[in-house]
Parts: sequence; C-alpha cells; structure tokens
Amino acid sequence: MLFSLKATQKVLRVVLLYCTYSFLNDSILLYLNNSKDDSDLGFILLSTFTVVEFTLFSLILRMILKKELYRKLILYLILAFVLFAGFLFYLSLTLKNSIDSISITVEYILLIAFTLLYFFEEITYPNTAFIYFSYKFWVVVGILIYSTGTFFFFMYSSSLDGEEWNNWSIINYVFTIVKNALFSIAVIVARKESKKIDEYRIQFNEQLEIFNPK
Amino acid sequence: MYFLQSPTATSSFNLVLLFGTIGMLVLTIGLIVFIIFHQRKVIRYQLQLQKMEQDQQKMLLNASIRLQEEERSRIAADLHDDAGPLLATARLYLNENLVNLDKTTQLQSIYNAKQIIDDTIQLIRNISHSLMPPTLKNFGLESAVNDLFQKISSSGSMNASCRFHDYRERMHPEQELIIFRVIQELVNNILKHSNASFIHLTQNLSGDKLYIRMHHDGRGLTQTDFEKLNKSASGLGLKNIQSRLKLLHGRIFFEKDASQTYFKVTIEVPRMDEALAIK
Repeated sequence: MLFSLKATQKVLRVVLLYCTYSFLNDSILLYLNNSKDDSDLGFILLSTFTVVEFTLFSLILRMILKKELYRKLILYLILAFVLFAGFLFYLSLTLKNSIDSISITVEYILLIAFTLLYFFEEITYPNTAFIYFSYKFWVVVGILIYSTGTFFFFMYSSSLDGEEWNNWSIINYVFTIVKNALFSIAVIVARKESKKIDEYRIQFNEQLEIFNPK
Repeated sequence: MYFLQSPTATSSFNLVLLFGTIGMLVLTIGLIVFIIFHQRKVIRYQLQLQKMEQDQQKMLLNASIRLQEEERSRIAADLHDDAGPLLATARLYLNENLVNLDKTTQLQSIYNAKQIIDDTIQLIRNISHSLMPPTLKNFGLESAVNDLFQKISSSGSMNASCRFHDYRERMHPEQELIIFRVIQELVNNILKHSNASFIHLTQNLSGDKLYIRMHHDGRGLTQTDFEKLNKSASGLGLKNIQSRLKLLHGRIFFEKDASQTYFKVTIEVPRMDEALAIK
C-alpha cells in the first residue's frame, strides 16, 4: 500500500488512510485485549472505528459514483448514520454493551447498498474498457466482500460469549486479509493505469512537438 | 468445522452464522461474476456494432468513389467521343481555308466550321447542365424538379408529375443539390427498372422535417429489399443515395402502398440551420 503514496488517485489516498487507521486501531485493541483492560476504551475505539470506517468507505464510493443524486444521497446518509451511531453509542454506554452490533449491521447494509449502486451504474452506462481493468472496481469489490462476509458475524456478535467470539473472529480476520489483498490489487491496477496514461501523455507531447516545432 | 462442535444449545445459532456468511459470500461472488460477464458481453456487442458500422461506412465510401469515377469516365467519354471529333472537324474546315484561296469555298468552310463550333458549344452546355442544372442553382429545388419531371413527361416514356405543397423558403443550395441528386437517382432507377406508367412526387413540411414522397405503379423496392441491397456489393446507386442522405442526417423509406398497387419512396430530411448545413 505504500506505493499508493505516489498515486494521484484520491480514492486510493482515502483507502490508504483507512488501512493505516484500521491497523493502528486493531493494534491498540489487541494491546488492550492482552492487558485485560476493563475500561470502556475498547468499546469506544470499536464504536469510533465503525463510524470512521463507514464514513471513509462511503466517501470512497461517493468519489467513484458518477450520478449526482447518488453522491448527494451518500452524503446525507453519512450524516444520518453518524447521528444514529452516536445515539446508539450513548445507549450502549449506559447498557454496558461490549460491541455496537446494531450500528455495524446498519453500516454494512448501507455499504452493500452503495456498492450495488456502483454496479448498477456500471451496467447502465457501460464502458469501453473491461470493468476489472479499473482500480475502482477492486476497491468496491474489497468493500463489498468484507461487508457481506462479516455481516452475519457482526450482526450476531452481541449474542456471542467470549469463547464463541474468539472462535468466530477467524471470519473477521479472513475477510480483513481478503479486503486488504483486493485493495492491494487496486493499487497495482492503478499504478499500471497511471503508467499507461503517462506513456500516452509522452506520445501526445512528442506528437505536439512534431506538429508545432519551437 | 470446529465451530459446529460448540454446545448443542448454540449449534443452530452457529449454523445460521456459518450458512449466512457462506450464503452472503456466494451471492456476492455470483453478483460480481455476473457483472463481469454481462459487461464483457456488452462490450463485445458494442465492438461488433462498431465493426458493422465501419464496414457500412467503408462500403458507402467505396460506392461514392466508384460513382465519382463512373461520372468522370462518362464526362471523359462525352468530351472525347462528341466534343473531340467536332472540334477536329472544325479544325479541318479551317485548315481548308488556308489551302483553298477560292472565296466561295472559303466562305462555305467557315460557315461549316461555325456550325460545328455552335454544336460543340451546345454539347458542352449540355454536359455542364447535367453536372449542375442551372435551374437548381438559380431558381431552387422546386423548379429543378419540375423541370426534370417535365422533361420526362415530354419524352413520352412515362407520365411524370410533381407538386410542392410547402416550399416557400429555399433550403441551403448544398442541401438542395443533395436532395435533387437523390431524386434524380430514384427517378433514374424507376425509369430503368420499374416499367412504371407514371411517377408522382409530392413535397410536404411537417415540423422541422421536409418530406418528399414518390409514387409509381411499376416494380419497386420494399424496405427489406433496400436494406439487403445496401449490405450487398451491388446496388451502387442505392448506396450513393444512402451516403448522400447521411450528409443531411436524412432517412429514406421504401414501402408498398396499402392498396398493394403502388410503390412509395419517402425521403425525410431535417431542415437545418444555414451554418449547420454548410458544415
């Protein structure tokens, strides 16, 4: 993912930001888990992660979508979700819940809906290039597979006890790896894409120089 | 499968979780595969369509080049076979003047040379008129078509009539020329192939479109025949009509009348702005 620092695509910058944030968050959570910390910090971190993850993924999809209506809709839904998750967070703090499964479930439903909007757009306005030659496709697939794969796990997470949680966490780990692998493919595709654009630009400039010598 | 080995009370719950996740994953992968294949299919179809359009363009271009060459050969033949001998004869008469000093013979040969030069002028005028009818240039499409139909009628081979219902404002000269050429080509086809006893042409305006309809009672074409001929190597004239109409963003329809007695050809041309027409 470090390569994407050079990438000019905004979408990849947000993806990189998300990956860095996700890595730091998971590291702190792991540390808290190992140190048997009983404070609300873990829950606060998890709840904040849900909101930040939804916001970043929604922004990525907003950047990818072409139709203005969808872009506006995503913006309003981000605001609505932040309010909703904030309200649930307040409730959960008083109820002493260990995970905000409702907001995660809502988050994934919304993300799945947004990715479907992307596919709908791709079908409605077909491109001349194959869909998998675009890095955006791999980013969207990463989000979709992660959301659908961990959907049931997080939906039932509040009903799982400690041992079950540990057993089922493998789903989360597997899909996190898959998601990161797909994001890496997106970076590789984007690098190839920008290389091609650079080549075309050089060719174009050369042609311009031939036709308009100084 | 160690998830399934958890206590029996939670086993159904675990099953929902496991199969739910698998189900969601299968659906997602299915959706992605469907999108990829659907898009590939659409792109392939688009490429096929593009290729077909390119082939069609190529065919039209070939047809127009061939027609241009034919036209050039015809003009060359007219000049070589008609104007050439006439001018050579005139030259002979004038040469005779140099040899014969007898005044009567000289006068006679000068008179003959003048006659021949007059004929040549008339011949060249005819060639020039066939290239660009002066009536069309000076008086417009309506007069030029009237002229053409009168000539056909007066030749006695066929009864030809035309009526322009709504042509108060002339179109751009280039547009008029293209429409006239299309009418000329259609009339030529009717004269050559249809064995009709009459042709009737009407012109109408509807909205922003100009319609020209031609009826005849001979053998004719339907839209399917036209499309078939357009795709085949033959039917040079029809391809020429098609490429000319394409320049005007116009269309042509061939049909058999509801009474099954007449064939009808309709030309539809949008009335464009002057600037656009020139472009």
